[in-house]
Amino acid sequence: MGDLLPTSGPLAITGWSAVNALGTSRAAISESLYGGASGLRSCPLELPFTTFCGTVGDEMPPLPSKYQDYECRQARLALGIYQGVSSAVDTALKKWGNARVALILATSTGGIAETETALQVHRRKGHFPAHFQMERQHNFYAHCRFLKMTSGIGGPSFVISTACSSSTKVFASARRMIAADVVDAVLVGGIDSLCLTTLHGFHSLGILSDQRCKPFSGERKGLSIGEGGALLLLEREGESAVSLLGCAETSDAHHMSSPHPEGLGAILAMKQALEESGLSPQEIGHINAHGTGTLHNDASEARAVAEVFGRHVPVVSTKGYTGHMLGAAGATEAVFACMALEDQRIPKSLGADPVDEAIEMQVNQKQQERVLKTVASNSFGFGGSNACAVFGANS
Amino acid sequence: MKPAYLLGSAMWSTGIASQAKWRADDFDAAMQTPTCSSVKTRHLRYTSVVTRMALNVFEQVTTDKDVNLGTLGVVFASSFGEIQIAVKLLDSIDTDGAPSPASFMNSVHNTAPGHLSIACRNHGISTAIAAGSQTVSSALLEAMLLLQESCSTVALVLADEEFPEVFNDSFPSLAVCLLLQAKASSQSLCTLDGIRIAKEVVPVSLPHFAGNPIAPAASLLQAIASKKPGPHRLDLEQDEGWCVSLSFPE
Repeated sequence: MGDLLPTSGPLAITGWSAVNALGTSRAAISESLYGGASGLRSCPLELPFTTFCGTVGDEMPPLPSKYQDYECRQARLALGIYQGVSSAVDTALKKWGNARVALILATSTGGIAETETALQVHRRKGHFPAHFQMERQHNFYAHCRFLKMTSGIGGPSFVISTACSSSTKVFASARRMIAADVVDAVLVGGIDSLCLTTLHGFHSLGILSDQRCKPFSGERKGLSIGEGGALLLLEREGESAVSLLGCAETSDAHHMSSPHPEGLGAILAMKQALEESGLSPQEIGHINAHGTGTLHNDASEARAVAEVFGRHVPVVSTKGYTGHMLGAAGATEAVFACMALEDQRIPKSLGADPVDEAIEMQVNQKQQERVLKTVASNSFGFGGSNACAVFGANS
Repeated sequence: MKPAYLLGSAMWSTGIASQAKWRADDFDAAMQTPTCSSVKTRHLRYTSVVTRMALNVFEQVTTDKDVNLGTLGVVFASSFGEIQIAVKLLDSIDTDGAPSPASFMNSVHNTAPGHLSIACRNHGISTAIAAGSQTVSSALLEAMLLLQESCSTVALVLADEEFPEVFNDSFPSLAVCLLLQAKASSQSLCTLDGIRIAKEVVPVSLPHFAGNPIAPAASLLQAIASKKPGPHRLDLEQDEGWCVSLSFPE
């Protein structure tokens, strides 16, 4: 980091929507989250190994006929999630003007599921399916462009793709954009769809669990993949129950797929996020951890959390509920942070029992109702990419 | 938004090793893969042309510059990213169901900035973005915002590699790096300011790079090299019309 200048103050989160293995509405997600029910099921895709996935069970809406070129699972998920936040976006567009609202999404898969099918057809028949278009389905930006046209958002729009940290980094980009007075509001989020590439890839690395993932447990065997995503509307000012207080991004500079063993980059991200939020470690009430359920990631993150926050902050991984949603994980967990602040309730870290004795932080094994003012949310990804966002309840 | 100041630039394309070679029409059709020295050979083994191009242009532009590689921000941008590796992974899944773990970990969109951060021991901000035909303008905007927020220097690295043959869509691989600073210095080559939509500004198309999503970055290099002041389009005719204004020291 260079010479740090102040960015913007808190940003109001005036709307959010999420779709994941727990459900497609706040009520359904809340019921499972606080009921301690996992959304992980036996993987529906044909695989030569056993694994569990957090698939979205409900049917996602088809795209309007004028956007048929963009039709794919990724775009349907985008539309399904957007419907839950569209009224808030409409209000923001009227309040600020279309050109003063931006769209920053995250993904790690893009529409590759569509390309997987198209290539299988090509191998059998020697040509791609008639509807397949690289630019409008496979491309990382395709679902972002579709949502931009659907929503009427007229400001800048782009996709961040830094693997599993992607949709926490969107908060940092949005803060920069609002602080520089480029826009007044940003719709941020992350969307990923289930695909063969990630399932086979993580299996090849030996870190895909054959059971439901058990983050921070002494019995953890790896991660479970999930799909879906979340969108959150950030505004310079507005009535809201929760605000984004700060967000920081760092790099491990250590290894392409393994975290720094001492959590160096993660420690820097958490410390800088606290600094940007104007908070001390003692003022954080709860941490939504990255907590993938792999041996090394959980151990490294636990060291980093203990180094920054000590052992008294309740830490939860929500991946035991949804699976690891990769490029959509950060935004989904930001929504869980918002829910915790709105409901004044910390869910239990599902699957953590029995907690690994080597994990020296307070893994939250029982749901708690308590006064909660702030939540920090971690996301770490391949390439040594780290991000931490801090959210606060508005009194 | 505050302006950014250009300290240096570089490019690599299939058969074109540098900006100087491009300007001199000194093409070498046999040159299909860029060289790079900052990353260990064993780590380079499973990387793609897009990652090697990104490393190459970063090395070209930073070699003789007095910048701290351990603290500069990195914005990597590509429309299709690791498309060659993605298709190879799918081929291996389809044929024997066992993709290479090394290929998988090099398949993420931020592979290039990940290798760069390791090579430079840089613990600062590094990001990877995509925006289709708006990739160049979006990446420049993010780089300028980083300069305004917290970074004194940002390396903006844009790269898209040629498509796998199966897609039957041919364009040359291309990478461009702009080394940008928050403050003007005696070494500043150009000022970039006022990034905005101005559809009336006519884009400059370069037929040699037609089809490559980051081709507007090459036309930006050309405008900078010819010291052409004023607004410059960062996308194509049918796109949103994002522009940046260029000005040059006396």
